[in-house]
Amino acid sequence: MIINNVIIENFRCYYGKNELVLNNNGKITLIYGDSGYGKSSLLQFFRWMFYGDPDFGLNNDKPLFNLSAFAGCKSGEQVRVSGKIDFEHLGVKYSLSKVLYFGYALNAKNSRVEKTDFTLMHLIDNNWQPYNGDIYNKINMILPKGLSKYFLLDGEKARDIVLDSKELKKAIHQLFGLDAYANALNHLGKNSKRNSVLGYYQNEMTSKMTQTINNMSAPEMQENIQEMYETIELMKEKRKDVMSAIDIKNARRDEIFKILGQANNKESINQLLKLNYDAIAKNENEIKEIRHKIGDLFYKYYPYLFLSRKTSDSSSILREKNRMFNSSYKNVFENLSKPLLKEIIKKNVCVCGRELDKDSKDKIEAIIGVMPPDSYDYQFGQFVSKSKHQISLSQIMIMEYEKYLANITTCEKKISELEVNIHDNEEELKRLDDSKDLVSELEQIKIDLDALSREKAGYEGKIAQKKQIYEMANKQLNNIIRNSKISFEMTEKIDFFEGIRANLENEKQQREEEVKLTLNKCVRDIFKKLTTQTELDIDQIQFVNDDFSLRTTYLTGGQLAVDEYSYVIGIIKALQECKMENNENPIIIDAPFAFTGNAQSEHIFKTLPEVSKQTILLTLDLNKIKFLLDDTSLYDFYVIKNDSQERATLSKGGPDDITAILEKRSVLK
Amino acid sequence: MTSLTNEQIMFKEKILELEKENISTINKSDDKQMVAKIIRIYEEMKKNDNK
Repeated sequence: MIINNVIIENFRCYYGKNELVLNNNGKITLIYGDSGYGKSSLLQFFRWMFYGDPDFGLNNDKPLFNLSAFAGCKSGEQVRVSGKIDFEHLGVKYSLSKVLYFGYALNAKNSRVEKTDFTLMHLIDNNWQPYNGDIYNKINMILPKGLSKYFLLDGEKARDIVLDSKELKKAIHQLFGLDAYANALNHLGKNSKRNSVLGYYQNEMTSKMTQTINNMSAPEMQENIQEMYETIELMKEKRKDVMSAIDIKNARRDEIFKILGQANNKESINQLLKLNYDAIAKNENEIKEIRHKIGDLFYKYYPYLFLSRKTSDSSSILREKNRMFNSSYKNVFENLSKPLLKEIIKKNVCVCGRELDKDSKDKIEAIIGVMPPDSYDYQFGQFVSKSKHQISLSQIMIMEYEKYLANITTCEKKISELEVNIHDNEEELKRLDDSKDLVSELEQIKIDLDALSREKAGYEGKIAQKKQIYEMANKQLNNIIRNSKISFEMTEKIDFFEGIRANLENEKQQREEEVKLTLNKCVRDIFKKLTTQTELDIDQIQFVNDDFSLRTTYLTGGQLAVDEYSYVIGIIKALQECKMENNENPIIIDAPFAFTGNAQSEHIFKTLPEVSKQTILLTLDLNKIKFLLDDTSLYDFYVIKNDSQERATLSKGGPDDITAILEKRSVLK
Repeated sequence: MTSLTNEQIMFKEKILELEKENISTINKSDDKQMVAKIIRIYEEMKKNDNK
């Protein structure tokens, strides 16, 4: 799916009709919104449109319609909440439109939906036609709901998403078509599986047998075996849950060990902090000095350049005029001084006795404007002859200006990096301060792990015991079956499905291997581009584990975010390599730089256009990418304005908005 | 890999197709319904073969 156009009207805090035009050439759509201005509402708008299932979290008690629009509604009128998303999928254009009409009520809480229009149009042979099937079904086929939290991503929840490997495993299985294999195998089942094709035919077969085993009829024996099988499977499931609970506890325990291990380093962290603060102060001083030098350039050298130009202009004009008037004033400039120039302006008469024309008047005024205070009398003639050296020096010095500017940028970058270091160090100190709580948490984890291990051992014992009885009974039943006269038709059916089952099992394994390898390669490639951790040997990192879970070794949010974006974009790349149908998806991220430092944020922002066809970033952290904002080839800019919290509007922003936002945020900072 | 007859290959594809269809549907058939569907399609195919 690639989105072309979005219209949002009276949805939550959005007031009136707002339009968002998206590109699909990789250029990021950067949407700035202050805290509480409607960034999350915009993200949830997509969920509402696509799945009818927005998640507003703690703000769930607010109505879906805009309260300002509702306030303007009179008795008998309705508030219209609508959305329209135009998109393309596999070369077909679609237009998804949803309109909800809320009835008037004295209290907004009592307003109810009176009418709903929900349509999906598609362009077939240049004609827009309504899609007649289930719309949510269709959207689910295009962009599976199970994956929506990866493509409609809340950056602040990146950590939870990566840790929740169960969900991701499920989503990857769905996207790469692996769940079709898993479900087929589950439904074909086994002879001992009650609710399965093979179980059904086994039941059919035993129901026709008359022999008894251990005083039980064959169907009774089969019934017992199936019951045992189910019990064993159930216990295996429970054991699996216990094992994953153990894994989570172990991971947390390791994390705590790591933090506690660093507890002794508190002093060195404080020392680092001091060094960083000192370095910032040094850089700030350096910036001050450079600015001073720039000031010098202007005040010391620029007047020479300016005056030299003006002198040369004016003297050539005057000489020309002098020549014309055959005047004997040969070197009128030799004795020019500021008071004299002022007098010339005042009297409006030139030293040659003629009235000043406008051009000469302007030029003389400009010269007066840049000349030093009256106490410095510049003798122009002397200036010209004596300042030749100064003028050529000024011409050289003025070239330093660009260099000074570059130095300031370098210093500012250094300061940003130091600020990130300080932030990381302070976070680490905070964690170390929490170490007392961590010790008691560790003790609790130890108790929990003991209990879980006992529970696991209990299940393992029970499973082994049941399995023994189950296998014995199965063997007995199979012996009887082998020695019975079973109809050819029945064995043919069972062989038919067993053959398919074995084949599917192989195919599934091969496919899983292929997906795992491709996915790992693609995620690694993207990670290489997105991360700023140059010290890592990325080629050695296994991103996707054997069970399709993801590596979760980071403690800091910044790297988790890079992991998360690498996974999401890597999944899209892998889908393309595996030639799956849903291989173009937009990535919409709310608070993309919530956890990343300046350097990492800049790197992500710079790299996203290369790796993702369509990215929408909803952020208030413009300052983290401020050095890239001059490069408008990277992004289109939109601003959410929302002064009263209930009148949010979305409009295209320009450089002035960016400057104002950056200034405002630096003041806030 | 286990070699299958043409009939098995065709039926295997049919099963996968049914599963994919069910996955992409919001109102999904449950396991019981899917098992019954596979058996019904198979039995119908057998019946047609015997005709």
